[in-house]
Amino acid sequence: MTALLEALDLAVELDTREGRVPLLDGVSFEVAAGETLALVGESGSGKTLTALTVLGLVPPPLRVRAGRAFFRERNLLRLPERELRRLRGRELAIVFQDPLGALHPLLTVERQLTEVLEVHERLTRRAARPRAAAALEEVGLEPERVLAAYPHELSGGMRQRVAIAMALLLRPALLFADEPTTALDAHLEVQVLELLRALQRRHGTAVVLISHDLARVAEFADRVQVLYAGRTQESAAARVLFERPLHPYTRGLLASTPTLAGEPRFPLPAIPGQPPDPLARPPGCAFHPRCPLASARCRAEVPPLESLRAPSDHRTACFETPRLLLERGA
Amino acid sequence: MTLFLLRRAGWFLVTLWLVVSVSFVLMRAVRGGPFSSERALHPAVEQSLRARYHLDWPLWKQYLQYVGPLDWSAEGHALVGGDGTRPFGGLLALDLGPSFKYRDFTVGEILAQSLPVSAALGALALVWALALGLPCGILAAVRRGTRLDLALRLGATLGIALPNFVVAGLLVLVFVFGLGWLPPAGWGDLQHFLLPSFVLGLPFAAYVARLTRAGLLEVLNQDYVRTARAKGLPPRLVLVRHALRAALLPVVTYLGPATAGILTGSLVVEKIFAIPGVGTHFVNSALNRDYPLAMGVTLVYTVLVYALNTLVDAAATLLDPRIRLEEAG
Amino acid sequence: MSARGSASPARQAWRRFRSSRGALASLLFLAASGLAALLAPLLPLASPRVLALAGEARAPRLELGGPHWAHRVSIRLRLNEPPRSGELLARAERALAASARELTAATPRILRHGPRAAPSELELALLYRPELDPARGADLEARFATLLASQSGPDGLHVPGGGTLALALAGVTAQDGYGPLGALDRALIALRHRLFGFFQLGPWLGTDAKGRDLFARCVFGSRVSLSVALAAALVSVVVGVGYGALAGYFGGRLDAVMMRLVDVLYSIPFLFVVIFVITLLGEYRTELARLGIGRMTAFFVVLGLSTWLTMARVVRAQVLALRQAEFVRAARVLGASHGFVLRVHVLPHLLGIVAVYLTLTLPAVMLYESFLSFLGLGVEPPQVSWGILASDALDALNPLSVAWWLVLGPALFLGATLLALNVLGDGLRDALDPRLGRNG
Repeated sequence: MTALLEALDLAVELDTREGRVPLLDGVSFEVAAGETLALVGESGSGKTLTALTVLGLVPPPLRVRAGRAFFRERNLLRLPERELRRLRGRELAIVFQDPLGALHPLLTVERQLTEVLEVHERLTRRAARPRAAAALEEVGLEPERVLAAYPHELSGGMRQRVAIAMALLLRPALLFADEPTTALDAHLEVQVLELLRALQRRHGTAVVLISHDLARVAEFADRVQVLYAGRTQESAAARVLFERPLHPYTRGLLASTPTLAGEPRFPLPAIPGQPPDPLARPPGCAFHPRCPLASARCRAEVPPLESLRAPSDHRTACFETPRLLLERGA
Repeated sequence: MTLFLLRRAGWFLVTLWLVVSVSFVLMRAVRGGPFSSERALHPAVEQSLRARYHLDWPLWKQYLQYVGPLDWSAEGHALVGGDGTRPFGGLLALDLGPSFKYRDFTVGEILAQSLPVSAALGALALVWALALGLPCGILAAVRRGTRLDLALRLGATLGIALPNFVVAGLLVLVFVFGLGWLPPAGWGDLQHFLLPSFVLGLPFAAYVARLTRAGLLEVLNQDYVRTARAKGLPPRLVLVRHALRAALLPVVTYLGPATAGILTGSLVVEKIFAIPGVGTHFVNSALNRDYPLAMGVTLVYTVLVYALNTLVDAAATLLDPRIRLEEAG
Repeated sequence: MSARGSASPARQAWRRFRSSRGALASLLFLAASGLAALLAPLLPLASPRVLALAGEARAPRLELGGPHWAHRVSIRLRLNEPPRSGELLARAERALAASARELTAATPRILRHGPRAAPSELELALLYRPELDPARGADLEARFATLLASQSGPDGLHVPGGGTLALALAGVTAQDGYGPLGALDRALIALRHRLFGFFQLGPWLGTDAKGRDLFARCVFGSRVSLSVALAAALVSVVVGVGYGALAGYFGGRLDAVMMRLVDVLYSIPFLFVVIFVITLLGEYRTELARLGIGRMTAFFVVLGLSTWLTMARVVRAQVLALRQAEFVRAARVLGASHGFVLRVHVLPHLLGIVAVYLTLTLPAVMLYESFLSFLGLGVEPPQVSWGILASDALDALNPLSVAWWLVLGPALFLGATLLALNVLGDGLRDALDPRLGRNG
């Protein structure tokens, strides 16, 4: 299977007075056509930055230090801006976390939708209007009301739907969804995610779903990748990750999720400590200060991301993997 | 919108009435009338002058005469509602009274002569403010951190810091005496306009540049600009339709206080360049104790500033649908 | 938070402020200016007032200077024939100095005028004192003439140690370079005299048409301009903070009424009111003087009242926010009086924002003052302020003689001070709240 998007060793850093801070430290992933990949991690783990890097939207003073991102055989990171612009919106799209901030406050919904068509397909505003209306219907909104409205006149859920409609207008091959439901109320979260899934199925769009909520993405992702401190710690098919997590961080995340099934656990287990300050990353494995299994080797060397023998697409970056496999009896 | 305008008009009348009443009382009640600065007048002459300007009437009578609900005929009979030729007198009929100093003119006539001149000067100064300030601000924001940005920012700070008479002096030295390109004073055609309006508008151009730069920088960091780029829109479109539209709102709001500042600054600029505008008249009226003229000018300026502020607030709501008129009112 | 060491908000603000080189430089510059203004009489500058009726403005010359300080009483002696030897002259000078000391209780400096080898005139220069001023009725000339006559013979002055020197008293003149001075200034002048004698710096910024040194006038003008700015700003702060704090603290109807008043006042172009009021106050000068309110005081107050509105608005907003804060409510619950809460809890939190707006008010007031002085409605001659200097400069400009330096002097001083104030204000604003104000 050739991946639709293959990102290799993405590295992004920031120059500060105290030194060079690595924000993304060699992150790789791939997405096949039509599949959903979930990128999971706490805030500060670099998940949003991953999407921005691929799209070429890394804001200064941050800087892309290294990496390649192959989309349909072309390395996006080396593409001239003009070419990249042509891909953005048309083949690669993104929905951001806060729809109130992401939509322009002074332009009507119609304007924000039609301008995409005007620029990419050279349509006139009038010709683009029906397409915009159709896009809104597809996400479950009434065009007559919504087209003429301004973003602040809509509810949070409606805004996010508008953002999704806007992103999918040109039927992109790949959609990044950066925490699309974090800013919404719980009951809306499921709605929006199901909407995404329905649209994805209908149009065959690949989705990179970025989230901090591991449990939430469980139902919606085909594969899951866990990031911590700018590095990938574990990646596997969704089912495998949830049933047989190997990396201590993943396990900690799963254990700290409140569930309705099973025995109530009190107090809710949490991973002790905090994610490291990018300026003061611990040597070796970034997670070792908080890891119950940390050994001397973990403190000194950075564990590489390695595949298991079976299933081969289950990768984890931990020196204790053999021990854990033994314990599990795998 | 109509409610907003009506409410604004209401407060305006209150303000105006306050200004009129307070200044009126101060002027008439204070010692040292308009004739005390002139050479000693023969008592009879002074008497007749005072009578002519009704300065011998009791204060309340003078007040009502000035503001206008009553108008006394020559014989001294009070005529409610005017002298038969018009319904009201005084301010209500937009009659600002006769000038004490320029005895053959009414305040209205003096203003009619000088207002167009000052208006032209002020309008041109505003044009400079925008034509100079906006591009500089945009450039500085787009080229943030470069030496150009630094130079523009320094220029803006200088423009704000230096008083306009200092700038005027320096520019006159360079352009009038040094290079000889422009005439030193007088009023007539475009070349007379250029230097005074530039001097007048410069500090406001500097402020506009600052506001634009700051606003644009903040907007350029906003998520919606990032969205616009993520949609693949060309940079110029992103700048103009997305960024500038949001960033320019503070500049529009600034036009109100800017106008007030231009009016203030015009006092000095008109003096330096010998421009026969309203500002010159005001300063002279203060020095000459020509109270009706002074008051007339103050009233006109208050009206102007208030009207412009209202206009600007109304425009702000049109530009930004998030602002509600109740807040602006 | 990282383990970088936490600091109190004040220290963090100071660190941010320190990192802005412009703001630091401005602070130093302003401190130096203030010091120079305060100590102006101590500096070896020319007198700002003395008129030389030469009638023409002279361009700047970068020379070191000489014993030309005009603030003196001079006893001039004409030498009728050149002295026979330098040593004789020296002894004669000492004797003359002693005579002068006897009459005036001060030791004069002796200046020789004329060619170096054979001076034609001796000047005994004493630091100016009003009681020695012939214009005020002092009879120094007569007394010195008498003393000189008693020490002279037909050939001239009997020089102690042998010899005579033929000289005649040419006259006694006095020039008061400063007008009536306060105690501090008199002490500074005396100290200057002790340090520098009659040395004064050269005309680095030239002179005006009346022969007055521009550099000295600019420095002395700074005294007026800076003190007016500070005093007026103080008035502005006191009124603005008081008004805004009251409105914000008590809220409700009182607040609504007070802020409405502010809104109304805001729409009146204030400079006009200021001009109005100053003109009116001019009529009541004697009454005010009787109350101890001099012209300058009235000026400060009026100027200060013209700029308090913004401060009031800002303070009110801050106090409104603070009022909701937990610690204020807690204090009230514990039974603290309004006054106590205001003084102890609210006011300290206002310091930051007041400081920032102070740096905005100061240049505004300075500008107003210079505007008014420029228009002839502010400070009056013989006092000097930068506005007056600029006005004189512009009046003097004409196509025939372009005295460009007259414009440059006040431009430099005013411009530098206002620039420094603005940069300082920006730096303070960035330091105290990086979220407020401009980016980068």
